[in-house]
Amino acid sequence: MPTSPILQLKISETKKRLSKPIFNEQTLWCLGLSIMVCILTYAGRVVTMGSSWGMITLDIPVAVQPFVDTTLHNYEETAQASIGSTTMVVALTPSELIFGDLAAFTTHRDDIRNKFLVPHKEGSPQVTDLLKQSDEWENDRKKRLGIRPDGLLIILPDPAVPIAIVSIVAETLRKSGKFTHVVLGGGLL
Amino acid sequence: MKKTRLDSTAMALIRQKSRLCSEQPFGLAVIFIPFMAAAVISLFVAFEGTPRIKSTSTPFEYPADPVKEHSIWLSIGLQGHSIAIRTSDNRFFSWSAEGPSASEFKNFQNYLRERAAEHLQDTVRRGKVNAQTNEAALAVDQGLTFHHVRPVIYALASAGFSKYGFETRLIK
Repeated sequence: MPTSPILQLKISETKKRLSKPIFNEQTLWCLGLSIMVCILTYAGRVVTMGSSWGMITLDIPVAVQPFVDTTLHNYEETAQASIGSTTMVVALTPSELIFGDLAAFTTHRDDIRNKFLVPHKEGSPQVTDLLKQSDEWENDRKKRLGIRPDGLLIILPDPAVPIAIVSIVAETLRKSGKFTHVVLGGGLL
Repeated sequence: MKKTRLDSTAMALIRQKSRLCSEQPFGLAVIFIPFMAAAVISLFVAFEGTPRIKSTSTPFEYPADPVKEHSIWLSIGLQGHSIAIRTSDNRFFSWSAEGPSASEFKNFQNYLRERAAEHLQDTVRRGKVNAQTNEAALAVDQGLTFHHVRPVIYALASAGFSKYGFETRLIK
């Protein structure tokens, strides 16, 4: 005896409902593949990023604030070094390195005899030449005026100079052993 | 007789239901779902834990001294015509490549002050001073010029930092 039409309808409805999954296999594979692509992209980023990092350290000058310690320790803080008019300044421009003392770049800015130029060679700053010339200049200053180097250096980069060049010049000068503190200045000129 | 017919129909329905239920409509994909979920979670943890992944800057290569402990890390890169700064705690600051406006600079400065204050509190809690930890590490994109980085250095100076460093990629 054949089944009633209502039951047949119910059967077909159930069949339809159950055979229609919310996510079919194709969708899930696509989803899985996209997730895998994301994972591989970020994994690639992590791998190419590298794990070894170096650091070119620079100083920011701070103002000395007298501190009175009334406790038993009697702690006293003094300045390690102070920037003065005789502190060496190196201006880094896209075409040359200019060096002199701080006064030559501020109060005696118009004087053309107190600054020295070391031109770049094919766009590359000649820091070794600068160090040689500055040694001669410092020796001369010491003999004639009795000014001793204070171990401080202010670098004044031109705003258009790439930060990579500024950093490498600063690091080369710091590693020369002549300077205890290297300061990157801006806005002095 | 009627009851038996109904029973057999019900049985047929049940069988049909169980057959359709027992089929694996998702196939192998179902097996991969937990693995995919684990991969996504681990990716999320790595992504959130390492701010370098989100960083838009590529520092230049130079054999500088290896990175020491530092209190704050900032990635400075170019995003379109804006300077994008991402911090070690996943904060984001952005301003025009020409320079920040007064309010943008103040927001950044306030953030740095907060970080400096947190660092000081940590130092007091530990009872130990490590001069190196007061350094800010700047991962500056190699395409940027001094003009782009100058506001960041000003902000660091005004927030009380006395040292900072430019991060470099070490050549292997």
